[in-house]
Amino acid sequence: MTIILLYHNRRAWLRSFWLTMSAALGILAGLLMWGFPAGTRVVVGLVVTVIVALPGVFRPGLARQALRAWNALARLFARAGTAWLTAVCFYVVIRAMRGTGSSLGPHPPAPGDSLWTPWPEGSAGRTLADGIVAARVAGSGWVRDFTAWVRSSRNSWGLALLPMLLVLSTLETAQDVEAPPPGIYTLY
Amino acid sequence: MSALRTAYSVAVAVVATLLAAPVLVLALPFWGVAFLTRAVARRLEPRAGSWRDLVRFDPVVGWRPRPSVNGYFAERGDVFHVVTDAEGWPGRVGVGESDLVVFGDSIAFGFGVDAARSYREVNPRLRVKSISAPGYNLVQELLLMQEMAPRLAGKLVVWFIYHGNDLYDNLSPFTGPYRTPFVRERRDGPGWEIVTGHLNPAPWRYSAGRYRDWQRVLASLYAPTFLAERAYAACDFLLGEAKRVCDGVGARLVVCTLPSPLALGPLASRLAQHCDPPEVFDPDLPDRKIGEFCRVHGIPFVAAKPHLSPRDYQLPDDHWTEQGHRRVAEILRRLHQEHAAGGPPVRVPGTVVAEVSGGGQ
Repeated sequence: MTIILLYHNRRAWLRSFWLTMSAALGILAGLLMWGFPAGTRVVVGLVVTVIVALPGVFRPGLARQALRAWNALARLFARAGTAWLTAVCFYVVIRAMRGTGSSLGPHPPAPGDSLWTPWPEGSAGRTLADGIVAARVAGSGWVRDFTAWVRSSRNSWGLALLPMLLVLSTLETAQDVEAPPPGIYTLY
Repeated sequence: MSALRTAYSVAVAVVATLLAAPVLVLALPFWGVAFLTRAVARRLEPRAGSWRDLVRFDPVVGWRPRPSVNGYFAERGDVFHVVTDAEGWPGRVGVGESDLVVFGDSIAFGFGVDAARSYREVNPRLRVKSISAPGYNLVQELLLMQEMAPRLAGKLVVWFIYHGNDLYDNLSPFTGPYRTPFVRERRDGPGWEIVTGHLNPAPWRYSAGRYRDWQRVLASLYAPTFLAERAYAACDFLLGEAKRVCDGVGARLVVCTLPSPLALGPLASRLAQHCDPPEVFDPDLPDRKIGEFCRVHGIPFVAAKPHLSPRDYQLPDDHWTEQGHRRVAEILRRLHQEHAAGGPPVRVPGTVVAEVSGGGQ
């Protein structure tokens, strides 16, 4: 699930976003009343939620700018988070695993060379990519494929990458999810 | 040794996870909002199909909407409700009981707004039938006009010509992977001919690059270019054919041009940048050319451009908003009023009107 919210031109999404943010503000208001009786905090939270939610429910267009601003913030965070996590993957995990004798080279390819791996036929699972394909469980997600490869190839170091990969999968970059440019063809 | 490697891997994983922890913590509010928004939106929104669920192959015009559809669809814009009749044309009213028949593309189809809010339905005193489908060009619409001609007798027929893609699409044998009827210059002499021999359900796999530079293509139709010359000549031919079909059955044809939002207001100057030089860009050229053809053919002509602004479109999509539909419904009401009063030329205040030089019903 990506953190970027799509469909800023859909009424249901605008209403839903507004309701979510209203609930968040209600919870925040309740938390700020720390020290008051629990019942009072709940009532204040509910009142704030309802008051904030009403305009957006009846006029979902009001939420459009807010949703755009939220998406802009989410994209900013996604870019920074992706840079940090890939740095951790490269400088910590892969470099450390190099010390165990892994054949995975942490260097960029020489000019003219490619890291592209062709689709393996009857692969014995020698490299990361063809090994994952070879260990693939029909109908499963990539996490199961990856762990299946870790088990079958006895490359347990791959587990160190898994938390990073899981988080990275939710931090899609802006161009992956951005609305299509203005077009003249509805069919595409 | 293997146990040592595993322990080493686990230790590295722990260090890496600790280093990633700040990102995880900061991401929690974003995940929470995304998860809740999606969950609630799915409950608020009806399940929607895509346009592919809406059309089927047709050997005469390439594709037609499926008959008796009553469902929700979504493409780039909001989810909207679609209703088609037993023949697949939008709306419940049939051609026979309609006061006015509109031919057009997705805009005439009412793409992007609920059927009940489209220009067809907002005026309950005017029964409007639309013969239209997403992606149609004028050639397809002319073929349908020919096919339905006997049922158009005595009717007011309004032909929507959308500047945004109709003029160029008339010259193209495909729309994406779909084969479309098109027009080409005759090989055996002057004039144009309609080509349908390539129509079949197989996807069109050639010349898809046409869409890569569509803004330049669109802009070139607003300037004195070779493409514009061909596109307008083809349009002239199609207008003449449509007039002949309608005259043949005693229907009254009116042409209504619809502007591209990219040629309206401040957006026009951006589109002009695709012309070389930008100064040759003329936002009124399509209306002037088509208006002139209509004058020659004796077809009443209305340009919707003065009635519409970019706010009437679902930008970045180029279909009308509900407000845009209401504005067009008002144009149609006036057209029908004039038609019922019995006289050309059609006059809708604020529009460019071509005087009818004979031939009008």
